[in-house]
Amino acid sequence: MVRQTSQEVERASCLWAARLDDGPLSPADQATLDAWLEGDVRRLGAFARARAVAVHSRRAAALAGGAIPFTRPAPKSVLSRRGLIAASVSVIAVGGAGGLAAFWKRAQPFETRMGETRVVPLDDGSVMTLNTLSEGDVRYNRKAREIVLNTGEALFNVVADAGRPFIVRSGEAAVIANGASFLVRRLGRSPLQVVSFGGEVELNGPHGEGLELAANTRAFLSDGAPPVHTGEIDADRELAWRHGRIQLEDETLMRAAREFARYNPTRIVPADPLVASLRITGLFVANDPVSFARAAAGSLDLDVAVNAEEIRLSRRQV
Amino acid sequence: MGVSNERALWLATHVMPHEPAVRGWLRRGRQAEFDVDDIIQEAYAKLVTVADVSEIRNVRAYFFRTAYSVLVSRVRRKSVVSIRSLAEVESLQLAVDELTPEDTVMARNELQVLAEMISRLPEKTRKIFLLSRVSGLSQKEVSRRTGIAESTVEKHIAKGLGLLMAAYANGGFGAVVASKSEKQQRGKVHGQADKPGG
Repeated sequence: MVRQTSQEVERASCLWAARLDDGPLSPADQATLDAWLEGDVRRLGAFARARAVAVHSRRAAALAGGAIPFTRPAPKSVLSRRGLIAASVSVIAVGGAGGLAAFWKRAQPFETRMGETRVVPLDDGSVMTLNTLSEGDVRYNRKAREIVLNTGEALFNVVADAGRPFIVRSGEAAVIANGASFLVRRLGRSPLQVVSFGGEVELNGPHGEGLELAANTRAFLSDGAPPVHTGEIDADRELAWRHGRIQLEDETLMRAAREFARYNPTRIVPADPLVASLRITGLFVANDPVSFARAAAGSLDLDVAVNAEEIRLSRRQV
Repeated sequence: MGVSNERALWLATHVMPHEPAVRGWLRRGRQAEFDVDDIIQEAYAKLVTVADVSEIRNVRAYFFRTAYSVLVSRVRRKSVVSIRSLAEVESLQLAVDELTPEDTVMARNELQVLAEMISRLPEKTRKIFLLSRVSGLSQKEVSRRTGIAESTVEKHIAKGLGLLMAAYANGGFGAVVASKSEKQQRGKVHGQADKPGG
């Protein structure tokens, strides 16, 4: 018998899974399936994958009527072949034509919308998790694993590979890591932040001054200054966004409003500097600024006024 | 022989999220002599036959080890093996030992990833798939509602499954580094090979 290709095995598995999906098989079908499965060890594996997808995709029912659309997303977020080629061409143009094969990079853009988080598994087994409004591209080649983060926030869980450094570039900064978990945050004109959760993480400025980060510490890099180390961090707080939360620890309403603005088009506006300087602590849902404002108003004795553009917090009129 | 719903769900939620990583790792070993898809299928066959999966602490590492053992048995079965491929298999072993567990990271936006993948199915397949998955209609009911023959409905569901499997293999919709070796034929389920008789 001619050996089936893995694609043929997979195609047949999908048809069997679709048939089984609709209820128990007829005895004849069951006998045919059993005989087919016994013919080649790969078939059981392919059938298991198809069954896994068939059973798991029923969970999509949980999303019915939910916030996640099933319609096609805007073409912008789809990686078009033309876009990929254009990106690769521009990288080659910058890199020069010498040793084309060695310099050839597949630059592949990524982008998240406001309020969106996304898990992006990378080719080498590393994983990048993007927070709201993040944009950049992945440039992997044989010599290095490079990520460019132009704006936003991303968590990297990096698989160790001594032969191929993992480098995150953002503005003038380069974070070099190996077998590590770390966060890079580039928000507007604020200094670049790097938080290490463990492993080898080194923050480099434009003049090559490297700063190694210990586990659970943070470092900053401002334009024209060497990297600065700061103290211990609270990992749960730093990563609350992965669960769609904002965790505030004795923060001013001004800072809280700025944080919520990253996830929501509706702004929280403290009416005056005194209100803006009040402090609040708690765990809040990132895409629900109204509930946050009501909670803050309740504990700080403020008034809340909500309209289409803003959520206004002011001192309670007596 | 078969695959219980329970085991299928375990595979989907605990194993498949790591599949892109295992594929990436197998490709990095540049095992040109072996088809990555073959190795993945055989690894799944082994994972189905594990008696009790609740004992597996680090599923990701277990998946890597299973794929590795499939690879090793294939290397042994070959009568002539290049020294290069032996060295590469050894370097893969080193990579397995360095693995860091990150099961939790992958599990996060599970449903969101699923929704995005479904949203990218071709129009007709997506419509049928949604009626079957989200509305929970039987294939007969889908056929009645859409006026599409039941056998065609079944084919579209199979096609949807194939495309989702390919998406899982590439790390879901969010994979920005696609595999060069992924065959264009993936997901097409209209082939004649051993398909169930109608």
